[in-house]
Amino acid sequence: MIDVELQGITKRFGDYIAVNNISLGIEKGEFLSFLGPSGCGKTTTLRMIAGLEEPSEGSIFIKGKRVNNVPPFMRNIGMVFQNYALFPHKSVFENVAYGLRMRQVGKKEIRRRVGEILDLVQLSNLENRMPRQLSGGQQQRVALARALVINPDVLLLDEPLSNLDAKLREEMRVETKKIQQEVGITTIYVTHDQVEALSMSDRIVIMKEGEIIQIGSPKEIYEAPKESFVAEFIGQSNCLVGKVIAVKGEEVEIRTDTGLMISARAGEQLEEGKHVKLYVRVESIEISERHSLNSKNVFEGLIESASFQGWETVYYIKLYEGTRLVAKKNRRESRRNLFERDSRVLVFIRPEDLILMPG
Amino acid sequence: MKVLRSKFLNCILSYVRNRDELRPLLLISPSALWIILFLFIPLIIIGIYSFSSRGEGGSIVFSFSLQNYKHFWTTPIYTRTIVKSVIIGIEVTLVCLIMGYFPAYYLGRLKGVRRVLLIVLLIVPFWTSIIIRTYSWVLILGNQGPINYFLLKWGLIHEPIQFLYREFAVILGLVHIMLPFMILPIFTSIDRIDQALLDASKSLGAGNVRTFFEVTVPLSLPGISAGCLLVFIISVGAFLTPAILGGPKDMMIAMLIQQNFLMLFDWPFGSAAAIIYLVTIIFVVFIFNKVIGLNKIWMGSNGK
Amino acid sequence: MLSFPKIQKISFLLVFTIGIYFFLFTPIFVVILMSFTPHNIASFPIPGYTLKWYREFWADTALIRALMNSLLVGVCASFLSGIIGTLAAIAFVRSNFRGKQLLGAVILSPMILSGIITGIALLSFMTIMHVHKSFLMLVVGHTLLTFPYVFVVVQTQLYGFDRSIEEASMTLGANELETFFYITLPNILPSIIAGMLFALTISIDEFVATQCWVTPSTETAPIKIFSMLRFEVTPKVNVLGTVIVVVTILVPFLAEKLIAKKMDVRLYKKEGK
Repeated sequence: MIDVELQGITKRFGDYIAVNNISLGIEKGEFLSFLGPSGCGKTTTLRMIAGLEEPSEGSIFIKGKRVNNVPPFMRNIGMVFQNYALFPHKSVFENVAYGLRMRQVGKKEIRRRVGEILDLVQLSNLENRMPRQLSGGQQQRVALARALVINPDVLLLDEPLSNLDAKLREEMRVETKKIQQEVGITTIYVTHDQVEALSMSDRIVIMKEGEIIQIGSPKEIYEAPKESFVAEFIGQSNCLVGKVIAVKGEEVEIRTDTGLMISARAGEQLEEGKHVKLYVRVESIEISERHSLNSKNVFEGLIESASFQGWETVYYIKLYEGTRLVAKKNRRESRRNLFERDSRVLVFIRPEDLILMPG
Repeated sequence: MKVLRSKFLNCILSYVRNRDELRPLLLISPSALWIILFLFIPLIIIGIYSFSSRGEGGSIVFSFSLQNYKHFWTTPIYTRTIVKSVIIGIEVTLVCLIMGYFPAYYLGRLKGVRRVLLIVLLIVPFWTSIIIRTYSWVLILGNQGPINYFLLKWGLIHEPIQFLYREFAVILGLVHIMLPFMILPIFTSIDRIDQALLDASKSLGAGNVRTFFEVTVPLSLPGISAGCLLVFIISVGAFLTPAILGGPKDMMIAMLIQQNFLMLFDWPFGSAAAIIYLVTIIFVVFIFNKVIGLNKIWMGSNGK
Repeated sequence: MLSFPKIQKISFLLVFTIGIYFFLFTPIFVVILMSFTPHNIASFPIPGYTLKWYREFWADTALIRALMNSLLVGVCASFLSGIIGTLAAIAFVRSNFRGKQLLGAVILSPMILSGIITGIALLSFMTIMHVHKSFLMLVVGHTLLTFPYVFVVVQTQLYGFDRSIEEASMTLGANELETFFYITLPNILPSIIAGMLFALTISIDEFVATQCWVTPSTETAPIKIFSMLRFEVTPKVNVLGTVIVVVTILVPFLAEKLIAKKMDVRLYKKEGK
């Protein structure tokens, strides 16, 4: 069942088009993320769903009802802001109780429900504190509790973790997802951090310059990007440019502009002579000092630099004909062996690990 | 407050919500109405009065004539009031500038607790009644006041000096009141000067004095202009200080207006004097805007 | 700061500044000092100290009434100013409309124009409309003179105001009015109160325009002082002056204590209000 639907939504600020004709449907209980660089229109879209901005064109439906002319306080949504927007003059309890007060819920009921939700976010003992006395992580949980306690139809989150430090962010990611699943609420999440989007979402909407580039599950987005932009935005990849030399069924032979011959797998039919872009993720590059069994896509190369980063090591490799690649290996894969600078190695890329894009 | 949820209010809210121009209009209407009703329209009435003439027993005869203005400009006593007002305004401004620039500078370069304390101390006299402060000068400058007392005691003079009821006392009293108005804007300007600019100037070889005149003073110009304009305009319209500390020769335009309205009941003439005062002020602001530009003030200071 | 003859230059500046502050404060002290003189005329030096004039002050009913009038008018005017000025400040900070610049200048004009102009203007208005001078008109006039101060002070705080808490309030179910009263207002209250105190002070001290609007029964303290200076120059004037100085300085301090207390009480009050 579709809980939230956007039809042909466009938002203009004067001459500037922030959101350009996007349409999509969000399922009940789904965790959907809008992911994209700054200024891509994701926050604007979220605010339109919340009712804080009015669409220039198009319709928004929440639970089947058209809400374009409905102000935010009549939409039964719960929103968590990037800076949490906790009321500075009210205690934690009063902050969380606010939405219930607005809904004329009785005192006893308020007490019970606020108590429950604070238990859920593990802040029960901080009821009477003021926001300024809380840490960032605690504030974020209060904001979440405040939005959830009113049982909204949709939960909207605008980059809620971006003000937290890296470690806390990771913890809160897990927490937030856990709570969302327990409550089972339809959630729309806006972020520019792909790790968040990939780890938390059921589906991801990639946006660029106001338009939807791709929608899919995290796995789809990661393994089968539809456009160069997505391939480049998600994960870290090397990019090679070349031309199709030969097509043999599913396998395609490509010669790069620098003369390298690579075999790749192509989902759709490609013609000879067609220009393509090849993406290979940094973790998909195999490095070895001796020949392995496969004979396809094995290239000689030189380690230009090796950067030990704890769990991972980043290698900059220069292939024999000049192509430079970045490769990442973790300790388990490399069996704690590190390749040293200036050592000669063999680089191997599996054909199915190459992502082909028309270039 | 349940009333905020009432159907009635919410109907009004949804009406206003969809009309962007209506909201500011509603918010601004009390103040706009207040000013229009109690200041603006009354000033128009004053304007009309200025072209009327005085009837029997202080009544007003509505006729169009320039008689009041002619009377004003052809009678030296009256003409002198506006001229005196402008001159005193200029004198007070200059004295305030000279006396006030240095404390403002000192305050502007000071940091920390001392600065806050001094600023608060600057505001306190500002909060004290003008009448009290002006009256205190009567006590101090009087023939039996402390100044004359000490001068006599130390044999510097043989009889008390008449300080009071002369232009000197008026200027002194006005400067005393206007100083904070000059110091605060200049202080704000100086506070905003980036220390790095002064350091750069010195590193380029300019000594303290040169840095002061070539960097500090020009950069504090917005504050100086704001302070001067403010002090000048307020001084021109001063009433209490010349009334209490000045003599008959020191009558300023505000006193002339007051006399005609409250004592002589010659409202048409008083109105003409008021209009002349208003025109003078508007003219000064206009010239100021042309030469220096009003937006400079907004750049330099935040108002008070 | 300045480097070259550091010690000397600083000394000069410091001394000069202290001199200016001395200049600003001495007259006030003289007034207070002279209120204790036993002589009928305030002369220097003071032979002794007496509270004679203070006793006479409290016995003078007309004087006390003038003081009460001043306080009453001041409180009323500052409340009205608080409302009008705050609404105007909100309009100016949050929206653009035609004639905003002009209106802004017009609103600020009572601060700069000579009080006599405002005085005669309202007086003429009352005459033409056949409205009698009254306590009400006094309040109207004082509100006109003081709301620009509230306007300026509230605007300053409003510019830095983070509106996301208002948006949060609306997503939680509060309409625009509820959001204003429950969320916006409590958070701009400090500047509103500061502005109102400012207005109170200005009003208590107002003379020039007020003289056009008062009647013998609605005389305010400054009016009384002025007439005393003309006709009855005894140190009683100094007493009135001292009382006003004390009130003007005490009121903000007391108010701060009271307000701070009140807000804390509200903050920690009950849960689940």
